[in-house]
Amino acid sequence: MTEEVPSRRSCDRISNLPINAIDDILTRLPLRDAVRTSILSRKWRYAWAKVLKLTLDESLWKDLSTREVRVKLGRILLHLFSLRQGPIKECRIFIPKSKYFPEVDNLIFFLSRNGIEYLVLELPKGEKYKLPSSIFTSSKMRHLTLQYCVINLPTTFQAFGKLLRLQLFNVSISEKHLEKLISRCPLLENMELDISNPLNYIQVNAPNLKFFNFGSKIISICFKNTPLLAELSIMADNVNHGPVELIVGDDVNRDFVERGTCNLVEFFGSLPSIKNLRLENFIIKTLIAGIDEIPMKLPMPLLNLKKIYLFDICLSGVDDIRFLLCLIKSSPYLEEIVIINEAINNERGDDLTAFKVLEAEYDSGIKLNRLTKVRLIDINGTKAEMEFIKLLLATSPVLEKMMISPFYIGPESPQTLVEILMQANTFQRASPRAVVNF
Amino acid sequence: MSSSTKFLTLKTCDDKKFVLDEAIAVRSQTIKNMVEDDCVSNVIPLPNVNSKTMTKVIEYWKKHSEEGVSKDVLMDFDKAFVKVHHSILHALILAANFLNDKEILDMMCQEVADRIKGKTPEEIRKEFDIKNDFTPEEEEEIRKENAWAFE
Repeated sequence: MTEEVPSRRSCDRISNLPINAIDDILTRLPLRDAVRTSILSRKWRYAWAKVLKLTLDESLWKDLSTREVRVKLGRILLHLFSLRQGPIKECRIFIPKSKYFPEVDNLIFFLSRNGIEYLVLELPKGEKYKLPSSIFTSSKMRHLTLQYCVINLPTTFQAFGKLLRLQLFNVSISEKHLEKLISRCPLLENMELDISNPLNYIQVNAPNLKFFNFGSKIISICFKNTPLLAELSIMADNVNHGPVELIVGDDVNRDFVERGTCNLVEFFGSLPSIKNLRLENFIIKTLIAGIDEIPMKLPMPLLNLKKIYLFDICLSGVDDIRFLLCLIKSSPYLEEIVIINEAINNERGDDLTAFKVLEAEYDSGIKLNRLTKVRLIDINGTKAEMEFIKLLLATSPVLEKMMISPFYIGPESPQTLVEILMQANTFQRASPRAVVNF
Repeated sequence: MSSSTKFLTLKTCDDKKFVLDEAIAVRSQTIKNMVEDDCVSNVIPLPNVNSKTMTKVIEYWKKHSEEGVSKDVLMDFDKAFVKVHHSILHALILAANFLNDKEILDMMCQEVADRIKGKTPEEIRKEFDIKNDFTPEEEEEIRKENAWAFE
């Protein structure tokens, strides 16, 4: 054999790799394959047991009944508890078809005692899993994702002093516990909440929060101490709640009434770094409800706001228009507006008043000097909507693109599109480059 | 080539020299740190890497630094790149570890994992020339110890 082809030599090199590489390789294997390397040779026997990452994924539970899943989970855990060595920094647990498995409690207890930093717990739909208190003693936790759980903070809970990212999907938690949990994660940067029980009011106290996606209905959400929050989305898009209405005198809401709501001046006053904003109508409504008169402009301009996305706002509603104008005029660096218009709604639609409010804007000296993109969806062609289009075209000197999608009622209404198009094309444009598309 | 292009000379353990654009060589975090700390003389010694392995590494670095290469082309390149004998995989893992190039390290470890996944112990031993140094009794004990994984 020559020097040129050392590869042909029969020699076990892989087993002699440095420990970090062996760890890396074992981490990339499903748990079953990783455990099976124990039989390869003496060098491999306990290598799997020291890997920092543990994954119980769907491949373990293929074609098993609920009872079989439980039996197998019990065996795997007993095996792990007796053979594992050293810390487990990262763990992903996926368990199908479970109801309440006390085994999961044991696993979480085990993880919390072994330095867990990154935990993803994916449980199935149905009866929610009540988290054991041991999870709240995991002081090294950096990332926590929970699905289909019930959170009840133990009174002894101090803090997740290192937590950077919190994701709660279909989780039940009371307002008070949610507020407490958030405020005791001082480093939290990224939070996604989809809470399954109704919430009235929460206060968000998170000095390092940069990204917040809130996917549940709520009457009021207040930001206290969120100086870095740049991306905020409040959209109950994946939850099918009924309308949330505040009923004064109702026992459930008494506490909420005492604490008051948050109006739009307070709301935006606490978001000095906001850059991308996505709001659904229900939250806009509560921001307006808390104030006597919607101001022309916010007291403090939103100097970082670049993009707004408003869902189900009614361009033919006078309050919605006032809110929208207030927001636009307070955002001198706004670059993009996306609006999903709410179809004409007799309760809220007062088209003529909204039209007059918009018409009066020409005298206010409104200028949208950075606006380059506008997208308007579900436009009916009402007077107020057309006036809004006209106002944007007339006051945006660098506008590049305006996309208008008409509201589709039925095959008999194609003239809506033609009419909107014809009318929009007669409007004066401040930007020579502006293109209006449909 | 712009006048600002700087070249580094890398010297492998078998005394072969490689002259390389600095912008490419700094894909190695180890080299990058040396350049940033200004402790680069004319020649950077790589005592843990041989010339054959370094040729492979540079082939990878150059391909991934080329401009205008489509994702598909890179994917095909990577696929072919890892299809080597396990002794070369081993050498590349050691080199990537020393050079601190996470991209190559990840790719190589993934390849080893892929060659283990779903195989029987006998097949894995054959793939990597691993010698079974257990007695039949010990082997039986290990199967019992980890019973759920061997069913």
